[in-house]
Amino acid sequence: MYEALVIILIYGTVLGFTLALVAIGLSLIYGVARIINFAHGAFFAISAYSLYYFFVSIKLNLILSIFFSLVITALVGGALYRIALDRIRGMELNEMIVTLACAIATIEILREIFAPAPLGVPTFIPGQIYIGTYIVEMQRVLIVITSVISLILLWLFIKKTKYGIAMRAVAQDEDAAMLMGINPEFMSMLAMMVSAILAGFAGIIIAPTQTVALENAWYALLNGIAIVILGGLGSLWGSLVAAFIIGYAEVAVATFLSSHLKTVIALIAILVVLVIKPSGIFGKHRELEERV
Amino acid sequence: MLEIKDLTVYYESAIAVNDVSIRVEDGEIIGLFGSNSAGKSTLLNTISGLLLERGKKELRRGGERITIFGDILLDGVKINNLRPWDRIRMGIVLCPERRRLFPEMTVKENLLVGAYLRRDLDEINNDLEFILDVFPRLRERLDQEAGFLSGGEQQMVAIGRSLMAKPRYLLLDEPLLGLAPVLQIELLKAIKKLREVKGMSILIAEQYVLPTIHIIDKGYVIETGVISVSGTREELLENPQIKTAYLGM
Ligand SMILES: Nc1ncnc2c1ncn2[C@@H]1O[C@H](COP(=O)(O)OP(=O)(O)OP(=O)(O)O)[C@@H](O)[C@H]1O
Ligand SMILES: [Mg+2]
Repeated sequence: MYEALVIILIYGTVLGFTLALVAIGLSLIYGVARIINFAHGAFFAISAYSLYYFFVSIKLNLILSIFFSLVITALVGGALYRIALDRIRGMELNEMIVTLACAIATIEILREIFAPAPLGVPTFIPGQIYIGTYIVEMQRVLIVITSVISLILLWLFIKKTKYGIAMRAVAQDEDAAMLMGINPEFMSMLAMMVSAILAGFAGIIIAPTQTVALENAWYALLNGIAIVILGGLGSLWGSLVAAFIIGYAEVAVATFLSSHLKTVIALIAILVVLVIKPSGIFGKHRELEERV
Repeated sequence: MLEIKDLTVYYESAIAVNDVSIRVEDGEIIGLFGSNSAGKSTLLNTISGLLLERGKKELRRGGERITIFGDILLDGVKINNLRPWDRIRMGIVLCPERRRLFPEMTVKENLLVGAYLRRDLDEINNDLEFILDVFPRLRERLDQEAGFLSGGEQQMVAIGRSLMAKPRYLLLDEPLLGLAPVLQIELLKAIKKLREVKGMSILIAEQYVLPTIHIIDKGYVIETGVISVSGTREELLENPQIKTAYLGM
């Protein structure tokens, strides 16, 4: 039992950080552009497959491979916004249909370009460390460290830079932001690119610990949506906390029951939250209630 | 000079602003008086470019049809089709009705967002200091979230935020709304001081004719979208119609 708990703690934390990157990206684009992006999981897959191409197929060095993969993912995100979403913003149903269509198209294109079978990516750094008597691969340690760094960088971007502050302005009051000279369309595109980079980075760092496979895109999307709903739409902190709740829960289910049931956790979370408390744990509605 | 020429605005088929012409000379404070739904906000939102954006968005979405006729001229140049940020770059800045602060940002962040388009970074801090001198009570609130400020403080932040954009023409939409009479006077004094120190032109849309009229050079009265009376402050104060309807004499 004790052993199981330690495993849940270790693997849950690693998974929690990865999911946090995915979900915060989803939450960011919702917060700024009010778009529920069903193509978010596709970003996760695009960067993982790009990494496979650069790092494994043409044997570029690791840093460059990661860099190019993220650039490609960001460009795809920016293009998705500019070409398709900009024109239909504010029409929720159309946004969902378009993003879902893009997700499916992306995945089918990836299936065409790469072998349909899952692909392997070698670990970025070899070795392992011991936590007590438990062995943890360095790759997982790296996931935690780089995730923390990414989240801190994101926080600094949002809090301290001009564009980050402008993005928050659009999220809080689009018309007022326009009256300050901020172009919400540009900010939404930028948010989409940042969002894509976050999901893409998650896809990259987790790639060596699993296989690069197309289903991962749906897994990332489903979990991202579950976390964003659980944490409260548009709340970045809520997403962070919810990512760990889902992360630990999934590892617990995988440990005690079956790893096939992992995904069910996300579905249950969506169902339960939407039925019982649609605004999520940190949703805006609650905040309003508290203020009144 | 900012000139509004024969401006007419429709929401669907309902006319909200009807053939309005207004001139704002450099350095003037102009009052735009009218009661609820007279068309003040529609007019200011049209000048700022916000209504054009809203209209485009609604059109795409198949929503409300907003139609704008007439011209907005800045120093004789038509700016009708410019987007809001281009108008801000030219010095036309609107401080919207009901403040519209960014509630989850601090006072300081709100003020800095106002300077978003500026490139003279070294002067931004001076302007921030200037605003804090005009509204001293904001100084101790700088790191507080704007959503939790009192109404008066919020209005000061809203005006300060617009000032950070370095306006040549500052448009204020009901700045006195929701303020106690003492605060209204205090705010009007501050607005007057702005004109004196910065030399900007100010267009104030207000329902409260009474305290506002004392700081204006010229004024217009708008009723159901139509300008019914216009003139200098003295002329307005003498006007019998205004005396009875707005000054309660
Ligand atoms: N988005 C809209 N759609 C339809 N009609 C509108 C819209 N906005 C304003 N109107 C109408 O246009 C007219 C002018 O409204 P406007 O908001 O410009 O008045 P106002 O003078 O600013 O009033 P207030 O003092 O209440 O702010 C009103 O009859 C109003 O009902
Ligand atoms: Mg109004």
